[in-house]
Amino acid sequence: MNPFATSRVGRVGPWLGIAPGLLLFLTFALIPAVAVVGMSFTDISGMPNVPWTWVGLDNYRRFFSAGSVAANLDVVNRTLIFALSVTIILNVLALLLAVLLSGRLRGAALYRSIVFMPVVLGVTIVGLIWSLVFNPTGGPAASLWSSFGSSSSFLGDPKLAFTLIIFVQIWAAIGTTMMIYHAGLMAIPSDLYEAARVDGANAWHKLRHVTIPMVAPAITANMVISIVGSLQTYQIIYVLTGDRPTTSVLALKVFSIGFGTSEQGYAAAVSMIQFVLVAVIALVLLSYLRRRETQL
Amino acid sequence: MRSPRVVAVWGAIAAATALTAGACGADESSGGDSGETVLRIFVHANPPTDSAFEKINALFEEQNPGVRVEFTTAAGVDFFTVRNTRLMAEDVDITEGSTSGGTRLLPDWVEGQQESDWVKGLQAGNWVDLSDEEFLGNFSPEIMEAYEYEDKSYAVPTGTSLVTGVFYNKAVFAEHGLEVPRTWADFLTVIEVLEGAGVPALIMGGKDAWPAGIPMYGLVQSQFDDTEELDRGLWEGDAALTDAEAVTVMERLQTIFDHTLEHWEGIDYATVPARFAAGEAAMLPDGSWSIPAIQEAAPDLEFGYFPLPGGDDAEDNQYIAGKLEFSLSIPSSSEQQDLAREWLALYSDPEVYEDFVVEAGFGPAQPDVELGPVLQEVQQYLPDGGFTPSWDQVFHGNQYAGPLAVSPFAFDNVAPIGTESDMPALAEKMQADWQVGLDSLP
Amino acid sequence: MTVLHDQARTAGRLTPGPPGERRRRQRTPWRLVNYLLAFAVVALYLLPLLFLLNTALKRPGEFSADPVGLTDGLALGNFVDAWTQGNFGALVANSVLYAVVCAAVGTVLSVLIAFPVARNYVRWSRPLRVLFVLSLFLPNAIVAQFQLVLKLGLYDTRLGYMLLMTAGLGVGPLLVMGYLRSLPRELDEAAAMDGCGYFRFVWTFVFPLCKPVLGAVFILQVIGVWNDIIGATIYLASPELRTISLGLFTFYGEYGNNQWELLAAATLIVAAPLILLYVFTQRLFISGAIAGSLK
Repeated sequence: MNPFATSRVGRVGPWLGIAPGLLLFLTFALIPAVAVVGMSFTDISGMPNVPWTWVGLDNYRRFFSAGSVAANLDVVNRTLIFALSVTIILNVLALLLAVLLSGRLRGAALYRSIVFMPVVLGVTIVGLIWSLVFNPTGGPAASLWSSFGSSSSFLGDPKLAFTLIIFVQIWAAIGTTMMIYHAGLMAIPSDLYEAARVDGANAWHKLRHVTIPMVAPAITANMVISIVGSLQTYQIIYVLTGDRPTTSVLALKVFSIGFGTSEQGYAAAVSMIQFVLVAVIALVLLSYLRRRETQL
Repeated sequence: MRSPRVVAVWGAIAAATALTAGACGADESSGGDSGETVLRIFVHANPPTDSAFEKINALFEEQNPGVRVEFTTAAGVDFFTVRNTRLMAEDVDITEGSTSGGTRLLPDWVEGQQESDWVKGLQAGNWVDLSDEEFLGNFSPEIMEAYEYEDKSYAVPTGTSLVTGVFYNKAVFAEHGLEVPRTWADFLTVIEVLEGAGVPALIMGGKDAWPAGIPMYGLVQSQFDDTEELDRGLWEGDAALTDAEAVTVMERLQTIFDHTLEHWEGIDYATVPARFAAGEAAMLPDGSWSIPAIQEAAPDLEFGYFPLPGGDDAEDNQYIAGKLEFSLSIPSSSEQQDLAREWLALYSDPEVYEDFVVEAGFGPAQPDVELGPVLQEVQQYLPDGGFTPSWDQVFHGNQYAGPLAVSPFAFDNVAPIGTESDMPALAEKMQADWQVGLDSLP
Repeated sequence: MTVLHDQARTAGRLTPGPPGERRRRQRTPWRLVNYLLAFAVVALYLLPLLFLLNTALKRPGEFSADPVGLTDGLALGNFVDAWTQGNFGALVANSVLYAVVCAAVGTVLSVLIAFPVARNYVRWSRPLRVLFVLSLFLPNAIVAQFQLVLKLGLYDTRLGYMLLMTAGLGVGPLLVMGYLRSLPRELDEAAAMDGCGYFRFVWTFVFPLCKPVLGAVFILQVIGVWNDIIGATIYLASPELRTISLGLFTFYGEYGNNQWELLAAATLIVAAPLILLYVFTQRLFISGAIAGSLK
């Protein structure tokens, strides 16, 4: 155990070090989050002096009420489609990109920095850039489309908007994912590739039987980070299309209800539904990937 | 081994800065002891009203040496949350009380719904009673009445906005020998002539979705003689969204959408007044709040505003409906209530208010205000009382209803904003979503 | 283990130089394809960014007339106008203060938490680890959090905002924990045998050894604080406490109706300090992000 435990400071030191950060986290993040559970059983408004009452499961019933259930399940469904497609495409592309930009090319580090730039810029700026690019009258995307004799309203097209949002999200987030894969690749001993080459393996075989098993821990980390992140994504959707029936996701609903209305009890209940959904998916995926890692 | 020391130094600097900065921050925000009195005003962000308020603030500071007005705004949905947090923190002296529509208590035919935030706040005693203030006498009595609660006044109005009208480019209309359309048939002729001449008839900002609801409100106004009766009828089951008038609303809305500039569903609302001013289309269904933006984009443009002629008889299309704009109120928790009253008195001064309302582009809440040319011309479309509330102000939503019955007349489901193109079928779905709400009332 | 660590470290260098053998074996046509692919990817990222720059350099009104065309001249006046109209000068100091303090304190706290937990030197190490995974997706608690901050007298103060932003440590502790697994435990034992105290060991060994991952944690926190809008909107009511991102958000509201040139210039003003910081800390950052993920 703790080799420093021979002295008194060595015994309490670890806890002394943990205390400030843990205290901050418990006070300002965890305790308010636990309070949300309680709030979800009330009709609290967030306005001063306005009385509130316990309403039991009413807020949850409302989410699943006859009028709302179809639309809300649609939103949950879209949340899952968004999270799954972003997570899968993001990870496949990021891994390929990491292999491509892993240092064999001149200027690879520079290219990686450029791909990382949207992470630095943040959602508001990324949203502005793509709103301008997808401006249907005279924007660059419209010019490109028209050179193929086609046209579109892009983010205004209810059939296309969601796909474009997924594209922008992947474009914006791939920097971090790629960097983590890049790290994993750097750690693979080169003699493994050498051995594969001697066995006559082609590029696909090397990817499948050397690269992927060796970056398995990075895959686990990335898959969990991206699924948790994309299940909670709403800002980019809000900036690009607003809360629309064809693009809304659960996190955006939480935001719209929590910010646009005084129904904080209902907002808390929807928040809890989202929390449970994310927790279940993240923990199941984590344990599945951990098991796969050892099998690869 | 330099780096641990570097990190330690960084940490120490950081901690020290945090503490001193924190201390400073606390001092600055308490404001009271620094010899300067601070009046805190918080409203939603809107460029024309922001700049009009800033002028009044400058005047107020000039008249009251030693007083500083701290004017802050928040945009979009953030406004509602921040207003609540600032009221909670007792950190605001004047803010928006009613955000729109005055004081509307739930009528007796509505069941199982919550009163508006404004009414809840009044019931909780959150706002200062202003009934005895002389400056309220400057405002039109019928408008003051709309904000009253239990015969007392807690709000100072800012004005009215007209919603169900259409802006038109006078030069383009003259060029093609067109006159303001009075009936739906006239309107179709105008569209036909314009399109025949290669001029796009209509433009709207569809990317934000809500602007597409504006012509819907106009159509409802023309198709239904008494919209309040429609609200009651829907709640009591005497009216349905599948009735002939309701289907006509949806079909004519679809016609309007079909004749709007190509790909309008991807156009940002914020850019639309300037695009209309630049002549990209001849007509723009929009609220009167866009007048300042159109004028700013093209100061010499000659344009007018007419009621959307959604009915077959000119008689059904004679008025433009609108809404009461937000009001200003003093929170009971304010520590500067006297100063806040003085500010409101200055704001209510007929000359100051006239400048405000003209710059804001609102219809006036005071009599005898000299209006800009566009609003002056629009007076012919207002009833004698001065004001007809539009459908969004009359309708009472049901939180248990399905999504297609939220507004209702689900304009945002009609192609190209949404995906529906069969209007009678959409009307059936709207009615089903409304009915399920009635059936699920607790 | 140390091999792994070194390789991770080299990754951040601009010319990382993979084993020479492998490079020689790249067949030329494949190399060409790789370069083409790389340039396509870079174009996909650079073109939208250059489009923004191009817009910022256009004269007022030029963008509406021709959004895609190359700018006629260099209308640097846009930057001056945006700077003065957005009042960014007064806001940038606040943002720098918040970002640097929160990120520095957050980084130190992340190590102090991660080291004993990763090493199982404290009881309940496993629940603590789960707690910090949960912290990545806690439910939205603005109303409750606001009440707490208000009761503590921290509302509308710099200290309150910085405490809040530091409390959301995010991936910091997790990244450091992952990284620490690649460091040999024997070092701790040897140091303890030599009579080195706990905190001295943390300062003189753990911090320098974690340097690469600390760069990552630091800049991720800087990015988070710099780009925060919701927290700043709610907890910083006084204009003199506000941040540059909030200023940009307000600026969008004021000039969002067609003054795209000004808007683009303002956007670049707000992004510039972050881009500079990123370029300077890039080496540390990239190698750090890498190393932390290796569990």
